[in-house]
Amino acid sequence: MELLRVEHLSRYYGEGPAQVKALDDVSFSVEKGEFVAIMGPSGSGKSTLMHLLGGVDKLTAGQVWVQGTDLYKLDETALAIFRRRQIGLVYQFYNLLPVLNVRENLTLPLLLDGRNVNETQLEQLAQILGIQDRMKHLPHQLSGGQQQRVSIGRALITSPALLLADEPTGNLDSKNSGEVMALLRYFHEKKGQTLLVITHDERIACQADRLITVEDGHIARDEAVRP
Amino acid sequence: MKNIIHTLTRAQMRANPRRTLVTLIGVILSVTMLTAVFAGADSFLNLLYRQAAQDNGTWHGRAFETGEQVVQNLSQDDRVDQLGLAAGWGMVPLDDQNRWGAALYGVNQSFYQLLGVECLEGTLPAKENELAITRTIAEKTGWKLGEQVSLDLLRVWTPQGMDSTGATTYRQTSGLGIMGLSDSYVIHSVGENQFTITAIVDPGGFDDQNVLTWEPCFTALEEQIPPDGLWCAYYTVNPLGQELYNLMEDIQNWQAALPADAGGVGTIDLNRQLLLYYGMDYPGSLLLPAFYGLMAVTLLIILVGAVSLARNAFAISMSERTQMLGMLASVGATRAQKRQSVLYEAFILGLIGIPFGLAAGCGGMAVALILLNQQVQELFQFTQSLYLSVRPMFLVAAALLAALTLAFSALQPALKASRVTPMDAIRGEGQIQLHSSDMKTGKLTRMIFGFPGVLALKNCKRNRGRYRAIVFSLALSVIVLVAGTGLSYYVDRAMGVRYGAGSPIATATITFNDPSLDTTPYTDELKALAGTGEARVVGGLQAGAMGSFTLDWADMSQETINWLQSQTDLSEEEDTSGGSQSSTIYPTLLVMEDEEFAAWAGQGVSLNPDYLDCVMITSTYLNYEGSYTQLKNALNLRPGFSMDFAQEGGFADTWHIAALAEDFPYSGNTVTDTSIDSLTLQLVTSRSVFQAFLDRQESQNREGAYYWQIQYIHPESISALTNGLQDWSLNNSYGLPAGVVSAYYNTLAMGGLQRFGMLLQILCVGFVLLLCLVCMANIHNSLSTGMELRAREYGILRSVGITPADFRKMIWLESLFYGIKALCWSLPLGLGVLALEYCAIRRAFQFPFCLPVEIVVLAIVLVLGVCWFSGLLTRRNLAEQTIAQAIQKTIC
Ligand SMILES: Nc1ncnc2c1ncn2[C@@H]1O[C@H](COP(=O)(O)OP(=O)(O)OP(=O)(O)O)[C@@H](O)[C@H]1O
Ligand SMILES: [Mg+2]
Repeated sequence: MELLRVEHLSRYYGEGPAQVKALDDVSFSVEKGEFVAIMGPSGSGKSTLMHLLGGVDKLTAGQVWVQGTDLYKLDETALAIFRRRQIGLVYQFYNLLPVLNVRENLTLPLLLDGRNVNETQLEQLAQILGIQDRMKHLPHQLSGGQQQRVSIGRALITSPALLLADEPTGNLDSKNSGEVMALLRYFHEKKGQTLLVITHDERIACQADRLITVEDGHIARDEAVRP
Repeated sequence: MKNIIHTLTRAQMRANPRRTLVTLIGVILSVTMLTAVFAGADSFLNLLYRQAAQDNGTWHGRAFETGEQVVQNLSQDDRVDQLGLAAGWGMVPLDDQNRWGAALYGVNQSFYQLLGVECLEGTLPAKENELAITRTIAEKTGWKLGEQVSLDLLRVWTPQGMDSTGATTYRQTSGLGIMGLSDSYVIHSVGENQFTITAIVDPGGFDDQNVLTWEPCFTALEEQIPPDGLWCAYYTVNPLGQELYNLMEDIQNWQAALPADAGGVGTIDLNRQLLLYYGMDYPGSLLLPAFYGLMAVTLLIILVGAVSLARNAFAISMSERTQMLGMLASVGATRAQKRQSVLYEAFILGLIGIPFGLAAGCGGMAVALILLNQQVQELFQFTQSLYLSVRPMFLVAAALLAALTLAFSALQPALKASRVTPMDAIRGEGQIQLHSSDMKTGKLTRMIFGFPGVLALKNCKRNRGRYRAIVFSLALSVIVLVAGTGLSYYVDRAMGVRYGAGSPIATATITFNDPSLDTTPYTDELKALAGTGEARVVGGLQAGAMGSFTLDWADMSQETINWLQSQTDLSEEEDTSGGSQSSTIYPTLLVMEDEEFAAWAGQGVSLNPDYLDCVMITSTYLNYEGSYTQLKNALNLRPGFSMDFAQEGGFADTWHIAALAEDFPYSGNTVTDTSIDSLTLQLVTSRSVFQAFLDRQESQNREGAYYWQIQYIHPESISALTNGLQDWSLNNSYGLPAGVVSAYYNTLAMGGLQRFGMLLQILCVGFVLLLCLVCMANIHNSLSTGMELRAREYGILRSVGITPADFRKMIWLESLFYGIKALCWSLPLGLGVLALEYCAIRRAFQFPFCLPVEIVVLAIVLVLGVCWFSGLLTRRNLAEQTIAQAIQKTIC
């Protein structure tokens, strides 16, 4: 089943001779349950692509469908609600709100949605993330790896259709990096979570089902990863 | 060599002009508030100075009616800078009945200067036998410039007391301050002298301010003045300081050596109101300490706000520069160098901000003073107007304090900056460290405001120091506002019980006894006085003129009976209530102009002019020995009730109640000073009904007392009006026309309590305005810097899916929470203070407790308005950027 479809997606910055075509006429689609790695040199437009897929940027042209919904046809409020229910976003660092404790950060999408928190589910999640004894701490009291695990937990708490992660391990040492990747793989394998992960790390890319290489705003290669 | 840290700091400030501007505005606002306090205080002192210079002159101290020896000592004293002298020559009655006249003084040039004597026409006397007279003397006597007059001068001693043998003792007077020439005075002639009138002057500060008895006139101070007269010496000292007090003490000693009847008991005092400007007052007086204390408290409270404002500005620009500092640290910058970065920024901001702040503070105060002028003038009965006038000294003090504030505010961020490590820069730390305990919010917040409310409250609290400073200032504004205006509200209520609300500033009353007299010229004359402004005419009959009647207690309210009984209990020796169970009622009548009566009474009331048809007022104000009470529906009299009256040698007619009204139409003499068992009954009628009544009296050849009164409600110029009324009463003192019994005026000087209430109100309003400004600046700064610093956080929040509506709600609530929190603390406290104030005032004035709802509402609206407005400014700057931009912003 097709979960994500992108058609003729473009994002230009500025105008005239100084115009930067960060993303230029990109089309592809992702099946439900796929784990896609996105690689490419610096400045090639990976982050731009991810922002557009997550519905947090303005596009210049093209369409993005997530579960049959054209993201950029939604008004701002509908898009926000769609995002908090169907899309999980994880950035390289500073994903957490410093005024909220771990528990609140974790359940932020639910709180925004006015939904009740299922305590057993939350406990399970905390256990999987390995932060069950840190629930009352503020983010700055956590290590970078712990922070990153909390942001992954937050991105997944609503069981979204799509998880987008922009260099989730970019800021971490190899041990923490391994833990975070194990976590992502766990959700992919056990829960059938669809994943799109931007990375510079070949070893991470190898764990994916499929590798998309972006170069200069275009998709240069789109290939299955051999295990 | 260029300092690299300074260069970097400047570059950083230039790189983010918006951030720098926000910080600069924070600095300017802090300086503005401090300056405003200094400018306001000095302008007020300056007003006192100018008013004193006008009322009394510019002298520092004086020995009034002292002896010649004192004057001689003074003229040889080198502490004295300028010495104005007036040697009393004698007095000349200028009226057949010796009621008033001129008091002649030989004066020197300094006297004219120090007393502000102004030459209106001609030239001031330079030689002996030249004479300057006042305008009043010129008008009353008809003397002209150049005219030769012969003055038969007298010296006067007034009785002073008795000595041990029982003989009367006397003291000499130079003329000012006594009335007429009494038979009990000892009077000696000092001979007749010829003078040429060369000038008409305004005697300036050498004047009895309001009464015409002995008008001063001046000639040159020469040898020919007979010895042993009284002298008035006015001096300034140089340098002004402690020596003034020493000199005053010396004068006291010199004077003590003189005999009592020859200057030994003269008045020695200081031009206090003027000296306050120089920070001097009588030793031991608490006036100046109180003034400076008030200023200090105000400054202190503003300082709390200013420091938190400035400190935050620096802290934020510092945390924004964590990256730079971390980089510097990584290449080996010392702590001192990192510290320097913040301090240097403070220095630059101070250099730009302080001059702007000084200008803005003065500018703001200039406007505020113009707005306050009218009230201050009325309050202190000043003729000089209040405007901005600041001595450089005060500006320097404001600038210094501002510089200290900035330095103090920059200190903590600077220390923090010195501790930034490369690691902090990488991890993006440097923001104020949060504590889990501060970030707790109650379930109630979530229930009432939803999750955006929780986020907003946490954001408010993340900077604890500032959160508290803002809440404290807002709470203080509410308490000051509620307590201050609440007190004047209760004072007004109390005064309303005493005089009726909105008492006129002045009244002039003429009592007539001839009903056939055309009284309009008399009232028209009063209405045409200069400075009258808004005025109205009322008339009537005093209690007693309509006789009295007895009313059974059965026809009175229980409250009234209780009151009457409590009053009789107070004076048991005169038990009049015994078995009588009735009281005497004295009707009084107020007459209103027909149109005003119609407007007040309404359409339904029409009066029959065939008898005294009236509206009865059902509330009664009572005064018994200083305790004021208001009774409602005291007497059970209904429309249709009528009563005849016939006063022996007075009026006779019938009065009739056409309708009832709860309240008196306007203030006036509505309070009954009761005797123990009597009450008054207030009736109101229209002018045409009253005129018909007068016509009936005339046709029956009856005569009786009735009055017309001009009530000056809003005079255009109080001083002009007061002068006009003085002249009017003076003219009347030379004899009243037939048919007029008496003519007098009253300026209802505000009662002490009322003045106090008004002063308090002015102070409170000014204070609250300042506080609100501080809060507004603080909240705005907090929100707008939050917006910038937390751009990424907000980006995350939006990317997680907060709806635009919820996001706006969060920002909106963040500004509002300061106010809500402040109200939670301050409203109960403010209401408590109100209750205390009510209890205090109730001791003397009885009126039912009433909550000044409008004040409470005003306080709530003000606080929430301040918050809302501060937030509004910020929200306008929001929007635009996409979430992606916000998230990336702080990464690079
Ligand atoms: N706000 C912006 N204004 C102008 N150009 C931009 C903006 N944001 C990104 N770009 C440009 O768009 C291009 C793609 O940027 P993007 O952040 O997507 O790169 P990336 O592939 O994520 O690189 P990296 O691996 O370094 O994170 C770059 O050339 C960048 O300079
Ligand atoms: Mg990137």
